[in-house]
Amino acid sequence: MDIVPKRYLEEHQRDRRKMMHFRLQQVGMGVLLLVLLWMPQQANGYVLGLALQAMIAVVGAIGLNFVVGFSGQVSIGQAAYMAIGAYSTAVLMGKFGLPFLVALPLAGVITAGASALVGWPTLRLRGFYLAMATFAVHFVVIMVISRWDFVGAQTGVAVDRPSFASGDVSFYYLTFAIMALLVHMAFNIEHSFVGRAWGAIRDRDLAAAAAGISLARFKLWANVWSGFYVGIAGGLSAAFLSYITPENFPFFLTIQYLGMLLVGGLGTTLGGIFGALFITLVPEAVRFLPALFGAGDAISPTLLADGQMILFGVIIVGTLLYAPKGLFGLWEDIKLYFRTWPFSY
Amino acid sequence: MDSESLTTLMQTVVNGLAVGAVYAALGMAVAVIYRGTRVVNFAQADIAMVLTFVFWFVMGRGLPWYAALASSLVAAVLVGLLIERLILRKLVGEPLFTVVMATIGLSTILQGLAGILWGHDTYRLPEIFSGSFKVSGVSLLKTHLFSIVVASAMLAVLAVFLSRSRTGLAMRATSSDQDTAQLMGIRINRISALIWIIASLISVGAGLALGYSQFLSLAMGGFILKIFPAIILGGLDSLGGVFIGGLAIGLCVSFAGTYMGGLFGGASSEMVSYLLTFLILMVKPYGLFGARQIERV
Amino acid sequence: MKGKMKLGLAALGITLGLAMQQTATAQTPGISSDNKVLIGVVGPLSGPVAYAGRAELESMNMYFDYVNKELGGVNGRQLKLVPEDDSYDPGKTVAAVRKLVTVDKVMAIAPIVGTAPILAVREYLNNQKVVAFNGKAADPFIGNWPYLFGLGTPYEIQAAVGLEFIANDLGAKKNGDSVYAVVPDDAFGNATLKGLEPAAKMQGIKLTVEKVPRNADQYGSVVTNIKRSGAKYVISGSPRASTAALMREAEAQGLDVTFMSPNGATTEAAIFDLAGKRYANHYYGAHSVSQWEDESDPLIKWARDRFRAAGKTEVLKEKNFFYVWGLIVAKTVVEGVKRAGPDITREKLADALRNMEKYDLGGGVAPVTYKGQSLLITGTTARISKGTLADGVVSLKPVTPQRSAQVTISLGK
Repeated sequence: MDIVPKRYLEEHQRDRRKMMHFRLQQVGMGVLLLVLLWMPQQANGYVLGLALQAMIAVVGAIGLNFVVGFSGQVSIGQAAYMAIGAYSTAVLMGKFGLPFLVALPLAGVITAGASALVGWPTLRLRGFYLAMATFAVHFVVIMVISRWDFVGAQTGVAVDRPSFASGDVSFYYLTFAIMALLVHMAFNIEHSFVGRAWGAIRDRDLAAAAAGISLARFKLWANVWSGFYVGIAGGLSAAFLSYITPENFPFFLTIQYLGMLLVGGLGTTLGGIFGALFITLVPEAVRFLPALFGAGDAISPTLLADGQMILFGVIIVGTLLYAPKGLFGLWEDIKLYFRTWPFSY
Repeated sequence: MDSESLTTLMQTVVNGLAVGAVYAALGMAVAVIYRGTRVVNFAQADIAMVLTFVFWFVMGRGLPWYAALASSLVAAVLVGLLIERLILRKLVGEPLFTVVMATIGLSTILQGLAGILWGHDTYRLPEIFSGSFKVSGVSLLKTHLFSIVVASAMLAVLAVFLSRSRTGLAMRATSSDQDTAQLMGIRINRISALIWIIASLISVGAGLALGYSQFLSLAMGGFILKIFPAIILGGLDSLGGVFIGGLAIGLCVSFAGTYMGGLFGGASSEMVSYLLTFLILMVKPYGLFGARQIERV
Repeated sequence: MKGKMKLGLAALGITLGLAMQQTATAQTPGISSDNKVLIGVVGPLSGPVAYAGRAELESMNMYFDYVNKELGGVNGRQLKLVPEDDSYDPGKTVAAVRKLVTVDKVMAIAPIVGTAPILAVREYLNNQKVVAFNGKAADPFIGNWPYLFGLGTPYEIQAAVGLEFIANDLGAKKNGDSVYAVVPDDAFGNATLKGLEPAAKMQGIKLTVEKVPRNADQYGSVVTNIKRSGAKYVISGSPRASTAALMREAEAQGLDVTFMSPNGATTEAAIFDLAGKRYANHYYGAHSVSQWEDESDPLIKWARDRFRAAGKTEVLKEKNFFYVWGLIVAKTVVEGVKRAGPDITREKLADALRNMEKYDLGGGVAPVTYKGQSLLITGTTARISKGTLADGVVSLKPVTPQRSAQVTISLGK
């Protein structure tokens, strides 16, 4: 049974070898980069905090995409893997005294290992049953960290930011660099043989097997990469929050990430980026809506909170009904419009 | 075994059946939809919650219980129909992941709406039966008996309906092969709506069982996560299997709580059911009673 | 196509617009452009513990209205509350706190509810040098947090006082009765245990502990376990609905015990609205702050009278500790603002609070002293109230004065 819509991806993967074709795109990317690098100098703590959360979400979403979008396996263990990454970073720095830049990739490796460990016995499962197996993982992981005194059990662990990047602004640059590197890697993977193999597995796994692609190997490989990315996202979020407890990884976190992929467009790195930005930033925008309409204090915060929940659900359902390719699909449509102008419609 | 241990054992069994009945009731609603449409409805518990709130609201106005029950049932039909028409109908043919995410989105919407309409507090359903039975040292809250009776009754009614009536037959035909069913003159659209309506009606029973054995609040929506072990155990597309699965998990949780308390440092009862699920999936990927689908890696 | 494109562009626009969002006006931190002192509030206004956040906000609003309208504000300025919801989700707490500090530029945040939320933001608040209130597990205060203030006795101490009451006042020590503690499996439950276990050891009382998941489905097995242990006293450290469910199950299985709630957050007469009246006369609760229904407390009576005058009778019927919590936080913060003087800044407010010594709120809680404390938590005492059923209504009546715990609890790790 197929899990992921596949129509637009077939074209996408075949001809987009280079990231940017036109001069316009290159200039646009340059401008965007400049803006993103200049912004933290001017922004206040709130915006910085949001930006950091968004960047972390991007890394996590891309990671999830490897498993769900690219290779078509269902996974609802996202929160658990982020927890593993976060706690690994915290413990490696706290108990073993490793510097942040060593602990973080190591945490990624640990999470990758955990992901593979789960991926291996579940290779045979499909659809709902696979989802349940990954959900069981979530549950077990949260239980373990809640009880294991080595990682602080319920009390949690404090996490220090690296000494050279302890301020918000410097941490932003560090995170930006890490994110940029990982995004670049993801683009490359997407367009490599591995990425295409994953696409084949997702679309018609029997045919892929018949064509000589070892399903087991590539599925596991997807799990490994996914674990690595999500683990790093977890580590970054631990440093951002500077204190982690089991409460930081509720099941709703997994749902948010799945929502990011859905809204952004499954199966492409860019889609994952769009989705992460959207889901992180738009609900926050709701905080400012009453002020925008001059209602200010009239709307009770409880109403606002319920409203945010409804909005999240509406975004998900709305995207599914009216924009099934997600933001990525819209993006492609926009580009197509401009490219074929004045013949576009 | 001495008499006190025997009593404890019996009590544990009774407790387990009571909890299991609630799992079974909600599980059956999920199974009905899955059987007919292959969709796992994550919003089922939220639907049950909303319908129970309707019941509570009507009773709060001083009306008798049968009026409240009737209102819930009517609301169930409306809700089922609305969801099927507005959302599911448009998503026909979309991949499974998409539809499931839609139900998750629906779940969030229902949570928000319920919060606005009825608030975030915890409420007690009005006392229709209070007190408990006591038989040779083993006690059972009347509300727990209610759960068991309701779940069993719903299973019985469903079984008869599906096997004997024409509509039931049409539903089974649709779920096994949609194209052929259409060729035989069965109106698929009607069947689809009917499936959702039936699931909502079952949810009324499940919601009342849950509300009476615990309390009514927004948190009821989260119950959907707890019945997954039961559904897996029984296999998603077997109603009887889910019923048994629900009872089994209930017993499991109860026994783990009574006899394995110290093992995982508390909260072991729920962990056990998830571990068990994971293990069973390794051996029987489609649950104990689920239909085997031939696929290999 | 066009419709979808517009939607996409709009979404992109919102995203970028938010990214570019800058503060509206430059202003002294803490004072708004219309010369009001801004006090932020972060709490659960939605989600399972929404009753906590909403109740405290209601009280704070009432008190601030009183100060603004009848006392003419503080040092010539009006006060304004800026509430934000975090649904008890530490991720949201981070966003809410950052917004309050950098966008709204509040003077202080009073309070931030919950242990996990405050842990996520205390470092940030410390760096930004913004005063914040929190209560009452001791953990978040351990370490050097000069801007973090607690109000009311830590849960650990309250639990210990409760156990000592059972041991000595109820005669458990003398009769050799044992105690069964049912606590939620989280930091809150752990704080309770940190008080119960040493106290039980010191008193020589046998204590059995069972941790339950926060939203457990069934308490049948718990009650069976209690029966097997033969305990005469059950301490339930879970919030209202869970304790009520436990009581209901206990009633069904014919359990004959006395219940106790080990701290102010769980001691509520409201439990019996859900649980039924079976244990109403066999219930004790430990708390350091006065109960909302306790009109013998002058501050509480004053607050309730004001709600009465405003016609808010539903508030009076509720038995929700968080009304009191909001009231005392509001009063303490306002006092701090007053002492900081007319040219108030964030730092001056912090100083004023740190120098507070024996500030008597006129009820509600024991006089507040922050001066000279190594951890900025006031309060080392708790008192016990007993449940009483009269005319079908359950209420709580204090049966002891405020007393300290006999056992010493090391609040450090």
